[in-house]
Amino acid sequence: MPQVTLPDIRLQEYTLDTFPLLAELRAGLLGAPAVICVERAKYITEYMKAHPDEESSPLLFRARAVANYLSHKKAVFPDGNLLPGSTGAGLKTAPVYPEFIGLTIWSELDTVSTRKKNPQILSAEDAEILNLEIYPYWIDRDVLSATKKEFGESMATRLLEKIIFYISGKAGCISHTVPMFGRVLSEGVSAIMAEAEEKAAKGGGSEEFYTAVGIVLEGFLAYAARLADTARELASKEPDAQRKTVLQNMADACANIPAKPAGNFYEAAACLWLCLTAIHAESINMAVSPGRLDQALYPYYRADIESGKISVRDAMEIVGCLWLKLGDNINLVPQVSEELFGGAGTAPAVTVGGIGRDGEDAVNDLTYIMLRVTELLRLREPNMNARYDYEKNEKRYRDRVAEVIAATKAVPAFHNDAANIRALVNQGVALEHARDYSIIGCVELAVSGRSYDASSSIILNLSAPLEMALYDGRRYTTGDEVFGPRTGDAARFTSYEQFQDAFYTQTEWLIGQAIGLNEQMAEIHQRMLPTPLLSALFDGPMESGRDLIFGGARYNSSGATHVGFADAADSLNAVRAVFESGRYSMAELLDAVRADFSGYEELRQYLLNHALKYGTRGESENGAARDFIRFLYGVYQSHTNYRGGKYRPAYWSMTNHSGQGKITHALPNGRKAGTPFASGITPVSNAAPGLTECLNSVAALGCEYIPGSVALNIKFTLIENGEDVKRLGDFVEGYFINGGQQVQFNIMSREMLTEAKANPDQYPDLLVRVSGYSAYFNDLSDSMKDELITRTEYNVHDGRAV
Amino acid sequence: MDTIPVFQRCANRLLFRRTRRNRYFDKLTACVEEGVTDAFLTILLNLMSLALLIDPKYRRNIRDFEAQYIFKDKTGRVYVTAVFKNNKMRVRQKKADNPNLTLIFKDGASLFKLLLSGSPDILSALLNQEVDFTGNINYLNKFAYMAMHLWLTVTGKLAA
Amino acid sequence: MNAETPLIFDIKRGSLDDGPGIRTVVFLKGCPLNCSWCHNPESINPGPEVFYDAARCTGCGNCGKLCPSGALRRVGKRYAIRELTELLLEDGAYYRVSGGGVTFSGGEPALYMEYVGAVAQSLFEHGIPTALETCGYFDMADFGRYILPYLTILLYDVKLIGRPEHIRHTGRDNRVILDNLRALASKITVIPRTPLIPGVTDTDENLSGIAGFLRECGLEQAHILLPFNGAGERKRGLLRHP
Repeated sequence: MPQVTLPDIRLQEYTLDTFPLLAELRAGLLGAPAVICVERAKYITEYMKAHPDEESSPLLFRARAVANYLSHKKAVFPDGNLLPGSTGAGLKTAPVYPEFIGLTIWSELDTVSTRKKNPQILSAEDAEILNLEIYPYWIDRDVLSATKKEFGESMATRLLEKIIFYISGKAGCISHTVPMFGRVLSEGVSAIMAEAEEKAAKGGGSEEFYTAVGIVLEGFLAYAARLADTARELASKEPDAQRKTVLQNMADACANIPAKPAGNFYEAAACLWLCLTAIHAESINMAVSPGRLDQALYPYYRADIESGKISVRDAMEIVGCLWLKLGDNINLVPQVSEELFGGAGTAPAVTVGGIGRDGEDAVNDLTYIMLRVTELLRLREPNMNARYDYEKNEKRYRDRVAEVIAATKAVPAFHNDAANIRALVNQGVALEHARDYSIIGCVELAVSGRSYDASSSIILNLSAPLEMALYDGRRYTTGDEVFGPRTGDAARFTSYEQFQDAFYTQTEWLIGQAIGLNEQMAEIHQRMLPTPLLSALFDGPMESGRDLIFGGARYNSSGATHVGFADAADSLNAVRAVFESGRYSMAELLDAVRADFSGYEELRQYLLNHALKYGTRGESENGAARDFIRFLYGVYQSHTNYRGGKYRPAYWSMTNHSGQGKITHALPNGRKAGTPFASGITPVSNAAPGLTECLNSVAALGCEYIPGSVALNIKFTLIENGEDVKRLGDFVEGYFINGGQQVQFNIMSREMLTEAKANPDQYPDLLVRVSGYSAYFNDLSDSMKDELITRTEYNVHDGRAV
Repeated sequence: MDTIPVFQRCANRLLFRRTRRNRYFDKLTACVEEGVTDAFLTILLNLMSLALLIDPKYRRNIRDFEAQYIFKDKTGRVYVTAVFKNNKMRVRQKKADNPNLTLIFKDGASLFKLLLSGSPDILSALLNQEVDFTGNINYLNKFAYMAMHLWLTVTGKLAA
Repeated sequence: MNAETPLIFDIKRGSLDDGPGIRTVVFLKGCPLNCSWCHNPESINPGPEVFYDAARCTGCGNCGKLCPSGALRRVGKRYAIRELTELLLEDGAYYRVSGGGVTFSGGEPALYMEYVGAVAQSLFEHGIPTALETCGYFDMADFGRYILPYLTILLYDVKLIGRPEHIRHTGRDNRVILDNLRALASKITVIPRTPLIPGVTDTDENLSGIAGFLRECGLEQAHILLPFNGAGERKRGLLRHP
């Protein structure tokens, strides 16, 4: 049987009207308030407070604390979703992770429920539990405090706490990874427990790890058993016959999975979701990405369809329920993070399409089902990613993805198989594993279930080293305080090369600080926060007897992404233009930048009109961008992390480019103070008037140098018809042939977005792409909204900026 | 003195503290309404310490809480330490060693904005050089919670 | 015939008009006609010119050597044959994927037979289809020798069928144009086009005359009518020098 058998790959006969349940769940989820859930923090903390003596064996301590939570975790069925299990004890909950950044809302406990922007509901009782029982235990124990306590206050921690240099992911998470579900689906958790027991008994030095795996998985099974019991009990009391059957089905499923192999498509979907809730219990529900679901679930789908157990409609409904579950948990967001990460979901990335491990077309019926469900639900979660191999995948698949983008105006993102596989192989990944890559969180590349990439370890703000080169180690906003090395008074520089040297010196120094801190925090992770549960759902740790955070995965790396790439590159170009002008001096440029170009409009015009601009062919050939990318790659790759893997640069910025831009002074490229940076790898707004030139410039950066991948935002004003859809596909394919790694679209005009900003009520769930993930437009900060509004927009007909 | 029964003495003390608390609260309100000055910090700290004495529910915030805070402004004119120990809070002017948190603020207004404005924008406060700190930020968050909670309680704005 | 390197006043990449698929359109400066409605007035004069945009001017007074704001800019740039070819090949992937290619436009690209022919030949050798937009006012022998062998599609303007009208509105006799079209009709894919200029070319008499002529050439089915584009007025304004 071929993998694609659907008579209509667009599945046009199914609409949201075909799925009243999904329509109801969707409305319920979007309308539900965000709720802070303390259950997890309570059970984990209670256990730890009660067993201080266990601290010396972190693996077991952690396993028991997590198991304590899982085995007490409430079984809730907060809406009519067909799948059992939930991350928190209700609908749309934000669990509290006091190990990480759970304490950041301490000061806001009384106000978080009522704040204007994206309030999160916290009951008075729960606030009291956090304030009196949970937070006091963690006040000196969360990752950042423990790091400072262990290693002392340092420049690296100061830079982190200043927020404008870099952000360290380890303070906030152990996540950003794609687990392996294949074994749990086909063998069940019991099989892994049996293996763990056997290996623990054998000895050999890894007993503690295997014992921990057994303990934590037992907690997982206890949770599943409670779900089964509760569902059965609810079913016995349920008057509505239909709902009774649903509850009974959940009870039956949970009596089987995740302990035993999944028996059918429904159980497979349920098992996969339960695994995610268990991972959320241990680490954090942040960018834990399900990966290639059209591949993992396909055998179950196919068997059920062939035997006539389910219809296409049934499968679509189950996929829809899974999509809604992926979106029913959120992150705790303190006020400060609203600006930087505002509107973010938990970014569980689903990847579909592309080629298989054998190098052949892997698109199947389930791929199209997932695309159609995505098109119908138009939800922020999951973060949908479509892989495309222009040599192996069919054009109709490409055009179908383009069509879904046109319909949803935003998703999925397109990823280039050829370039991404090349980038991974270049990192030492075996070809057949590289072919099985999937997307983590925003855009980052994972070797599904085999690589632990901690891809959000560092978010480095490139305007920081740029300013430190301009101001001799200082930043404009922090006045006299010297942070970076003294690279000299830039006003006295006599050549472009001198400035570039200073900038590179500052950049390398800052990366060194960020990496140093990351390594320190990693040590704290190893001491406090091993991940036996996640390790059990991975390829590597069960063989090596080593937890993931001790390097147990088959492949290891740490990821750093960058904010303000295009503005930094164009600022280098601007400095060069000044030296080459024979008319302006470096001192004058510095004065102009300090003055936010007030009184220097002529110079600013010169910079805007005559300096090379990243995103044009002239820049691609003679500008700073390519060199800079190669330089960053070299610096990162020269560092090896605590798990023996290399650091990998990436270029996505979520909403950081807007938040950081808002608080950054003017830059040499003519950008004025307080305005957003360009997002991800995208050229500065209005700097790249030609679409193919822009795409070629990005592609020319070279995927080998960007193993973490990129987020390229392209905005089209309008995609009207099938012809336009094909054109969008053609542009993507040309860009991919030239080596581009990723591209994501917003199909919306300045007018429409301006209108949406003015009348939020009329655009209640307008989905947009920020940089790497999707967001609801209304959830974004004003500056992020403005960034979207003023982004370069192209006309699909003439490939030119409008 | 002996003629006054013990319970009456306690009641008097309580009444006296209440009166003092109310006076500090009035001062704080006046300070907020008429423009925050350097006095803001001292008033707030004194109010907090009294509230901790009087209100057993509020006192739970410092049960077994041992910490030292230094609050100072950039000019060095203001320098106050708050010491939490033995379920009490003491406010002093003298130096503290090994504080858990040192908060450096531009002026009373910036401190007020950070602690009591209702939408504490720590990001812009940090970036505008309005506040800076060394030490463990969790202690700042805890203190900010206690300040806000107190403010909401005394102003009757605490949501039920 | 003109053997010099022409001025190119614009290169439009990623265009979906002017032929099939995704295309790059090269606009060469200089035209033998002088149509009263021309929407690319900067394309007529083959020599260098300057555009001035008063809206962008900051009044800095540095016009002489370098205008910082870009209000003042030279129209047209000369590219060596190889340089232009390399630029055009940069979008090869888009042409191939979409069935597109390169379109020479103007002005009148056939004013520069050797130059255009050399670029077209190079593209032809790279397997990239080319189209040429012409007013038809050229020497047929040269065209057949330099350009035709490397050309895929000819977009051919037939503006006015009446000789006196043609002379009045374009400054040239249309006999050459019609003769050339008749000769080329069987040699290459020709798409005849008529811009609809209100009161000038859109009259029943003219359109039916053109239709009749095209029928003779066997090209009636391919005929395309182009709606009038009023962009010429603003551009004429920009050509007023400061």
